[in-house]
Amino acid sequence: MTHMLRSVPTRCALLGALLGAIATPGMAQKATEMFIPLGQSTGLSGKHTLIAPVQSVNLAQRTLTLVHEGQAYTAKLGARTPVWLDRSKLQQPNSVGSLADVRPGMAAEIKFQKNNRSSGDAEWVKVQMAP
Amino acid sequence: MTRRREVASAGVARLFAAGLQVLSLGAMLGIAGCAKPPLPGSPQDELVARGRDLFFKETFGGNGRTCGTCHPASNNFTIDPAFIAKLPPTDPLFVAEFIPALKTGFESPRLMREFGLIRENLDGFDDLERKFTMRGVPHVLSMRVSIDSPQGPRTGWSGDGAPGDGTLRAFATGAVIQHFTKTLNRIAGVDFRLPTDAELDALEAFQLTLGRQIDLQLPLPLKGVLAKRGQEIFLDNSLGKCNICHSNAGAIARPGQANLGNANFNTGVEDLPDQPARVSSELVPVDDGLGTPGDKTFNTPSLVEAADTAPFFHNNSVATLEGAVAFYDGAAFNNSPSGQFLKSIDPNRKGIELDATQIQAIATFLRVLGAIENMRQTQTLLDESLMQPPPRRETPRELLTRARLLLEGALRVLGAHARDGQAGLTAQAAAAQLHSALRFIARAAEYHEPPRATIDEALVAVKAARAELMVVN
Repeated sequence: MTHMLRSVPTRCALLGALLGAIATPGMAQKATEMFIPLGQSTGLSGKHTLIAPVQSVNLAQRTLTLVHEGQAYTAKLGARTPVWLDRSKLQQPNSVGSLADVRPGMAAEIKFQKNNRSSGDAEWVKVQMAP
Repeated sequence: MTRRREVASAGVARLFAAGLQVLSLGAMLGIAGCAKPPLPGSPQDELVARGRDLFFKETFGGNGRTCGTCHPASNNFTIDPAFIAKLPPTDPLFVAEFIPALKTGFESPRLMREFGLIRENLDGFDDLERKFTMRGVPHVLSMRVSIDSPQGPRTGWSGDGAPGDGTLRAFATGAVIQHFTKTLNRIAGVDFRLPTDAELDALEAFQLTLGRQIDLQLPLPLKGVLAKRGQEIFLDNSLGKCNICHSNAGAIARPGQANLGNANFNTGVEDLPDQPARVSSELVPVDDGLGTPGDKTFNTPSLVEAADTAPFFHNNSVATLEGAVAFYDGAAFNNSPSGQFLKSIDPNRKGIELDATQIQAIATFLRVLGAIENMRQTQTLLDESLMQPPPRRETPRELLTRARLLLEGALRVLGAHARDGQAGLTAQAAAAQLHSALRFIARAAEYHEPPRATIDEALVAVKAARAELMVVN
């Protein structure tokens, strides 16, 4: 009986762990995110993202530095980190861009990995193409 | 080793049996399904009312669609080919057929009309002609108990339906961009307007009031022999194994003592041969599920509502409830990662192996379950129709219309069950009571303020119908 009781939780824990291993984490989709103007991302903008002017771009290191309230924040972009060009103020379609499209002085919004809101790896970047 | 496995299995079985007895007692005492809605006229109630108006009326400056276009209340908040066939050609569902700017790259009109499929661009909008998925419209019932997971909420068929923070609140923003746009440019402020924070709050509040507010607690004390047997198979983790990922016939995976919340799995639906939409001449790209690129997993839907929300799975590939249950007995599932996993934890290394009679029993159980839940919700609506002020600013007539729709749904699913010979007799008896209830509801709806006596008569009939299907104290 003792053996049985010991076995039950073990099996249940194993079952949970195994099933957990094949269940995948939740996430937000990024397809429609591209069309949301800078600063208007639901539940993220101003809360979990950093919105500030671009200070510098380093194409070789794939980094982007923004200055917010006098402090510099550097984001590292991976090979697949999307950079979206927000043209909504121009009443033109937003599009997929690249780090090469980003210039100092542009308004940018960075969503860092794990809602960090500080320096680190970027999940996505939006830059505003102003009139 | 084998002996040890058998002993352990017996222990698990006893644990489950003990748990089931406790849960059964809970069901007998009526613990299941006791939702507490906000008080009529309260700020939360007003928020829900505003959300309801937005859901069914607001086009967000787009192509004319509303949330209700694809999630109509009159069809269990989903659409299927039969429902679509009754819509006029000018219905905003068909914007791709009459708005020139949406003619190509927005929908696949034939797949929509024949299979109820909607086009989604979850992997990006860079190649509208070839890069898309075709998905059925999930109902939006019972989201209060079906979308939460330890990793965050899971919305839509692949669990990543919402942009922003991925919440149900953010879902409407993505839906407007994907489905409401006037042109394929999708420019905010030109082709649509994005919902405001207040609107998102209201839409979320409304959607969370739909359907069940808490999970059922199985087993229910069912009366019909076939439904009862179906419930046993459903709950048997060595036979049907349904309850492992659909705990209490909901959308929560509870393997053993773990609670994974609402989870994503690769069950092999994409590998089904001869999928109806794929055998048509239309392009139906492979749907890779969660993420970009996708990991081939899809979200677990609740089953309580399944009987009246066909077709099934993310691609509407199966039209009948029996077919959906039989999927888990087939090669596509049993060769999938989820099927292989279930096999690996089975003491006899067996996957899900069900015979036709067992498939039928599970389907009958799900039909009875759905009908019972519809009746429970009807009782609530009938009570609400007598309230002053009315909840959610719904008129008594609107509440009675919803009650009628629920009972008609119950009749539909019981009608399928009632053909099951001797085993369907309880369903026939329940259906007779429901017809009586519908007559009282129709009579009450003739009045601006429904007579209490008529509502009481309807309530008596609904309770009697429920009592035909399960033991009710």
